[in-house]
Amino acid sequence: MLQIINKLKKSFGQDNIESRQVAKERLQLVLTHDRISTSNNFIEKFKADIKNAVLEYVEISDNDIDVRIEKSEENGAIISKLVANIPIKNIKGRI
Amino acid sequence: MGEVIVITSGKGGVGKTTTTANLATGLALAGKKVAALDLDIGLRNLDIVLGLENKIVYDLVDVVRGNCDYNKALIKDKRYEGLYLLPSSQIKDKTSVSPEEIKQLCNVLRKQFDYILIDCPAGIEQGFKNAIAGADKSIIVSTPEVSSVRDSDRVIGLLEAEGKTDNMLIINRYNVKLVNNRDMLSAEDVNDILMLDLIGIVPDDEGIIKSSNKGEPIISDNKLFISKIYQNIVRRIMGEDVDFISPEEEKLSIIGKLKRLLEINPLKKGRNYVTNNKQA
Repeated sequence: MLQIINKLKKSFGQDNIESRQVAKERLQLVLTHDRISTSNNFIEKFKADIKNAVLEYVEISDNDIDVRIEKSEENGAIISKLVANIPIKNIKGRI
Repeated sequence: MGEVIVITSGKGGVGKTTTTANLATGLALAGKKVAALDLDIGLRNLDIVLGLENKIVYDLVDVVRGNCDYNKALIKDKRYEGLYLLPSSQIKDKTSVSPEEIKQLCNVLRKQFDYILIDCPAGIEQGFKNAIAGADKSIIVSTPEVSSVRDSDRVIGLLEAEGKTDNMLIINRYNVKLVNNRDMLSAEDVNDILMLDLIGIVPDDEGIIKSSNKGEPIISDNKLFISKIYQNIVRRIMGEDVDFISPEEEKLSIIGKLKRLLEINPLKKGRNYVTNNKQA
């Protein structure tokens, strides 16, 4: 009976936030951070690969590479965001 | 040569010991020779769930310390041909054995048994490292709760870091009513996140408590729906390709039936996912 009442409540929008969806979104977000913070070399490897890709096009200095994964809010939802701050020293040739 | 499978989860209380007891019994019922190892040192429980608590003379630490031969410590289950238990020690602490010692023990047991199932303690410390050391494969037991899924993910990361990538997933304590109500993560949701080879969805069933009260694994009661679910998991472990039975097939509520008519059955997708995953 309680289930039917809950169902009705849901269909009439009184309780339309499905906790299942909330759980999934929260998990996906927290696991992105867990996986990065518990992996020994994830960020280091990621940095190295990004650096190599960037070096194809521009000159940069080794010490200036700042690559992070941050939480940020976009349109009311919390998302994970890759933030890279890499000052360019020079463009390689005329592409 | 036998196969060593560790049953692990990170989080405590999700049903590792119950799962180990049922799968070990099921493999024995399927004609295999099975050793169930309780690696939860200091918190021995597989013995009582299996109903063998009064038969213990020697334990795991005695074997590792060389106080007795492993054959002497193994308890033969008289009810199920081929089922043996190596109980954990209740008094010594987790540091009294090392991963290397467990690995050696597994390699000895491999020669004599088809399957060696290891009941891993909760946590990711020494006891976990001991339990996974000798394993060829892992079964992750997760409930559809955020805390359990998160801990499972962590454990999978640790296993992979050790080069252990053959990991299977059992979703335990599945509450179909809650899933249909969209108030519990579905099997598909859980495996979207964990991305393992799903080998079973075990419903939340009060029969489990009764069976551990009696020390008789529920898989041996053929009349029960949950026993069929465990039997299918056993067959998948043995390498058979078995179709998934939806936990809903047992008792469908009126709303469940309506939902099915309207095709909002979350498990259907789940089953496809499993097939796709296997092909991939």
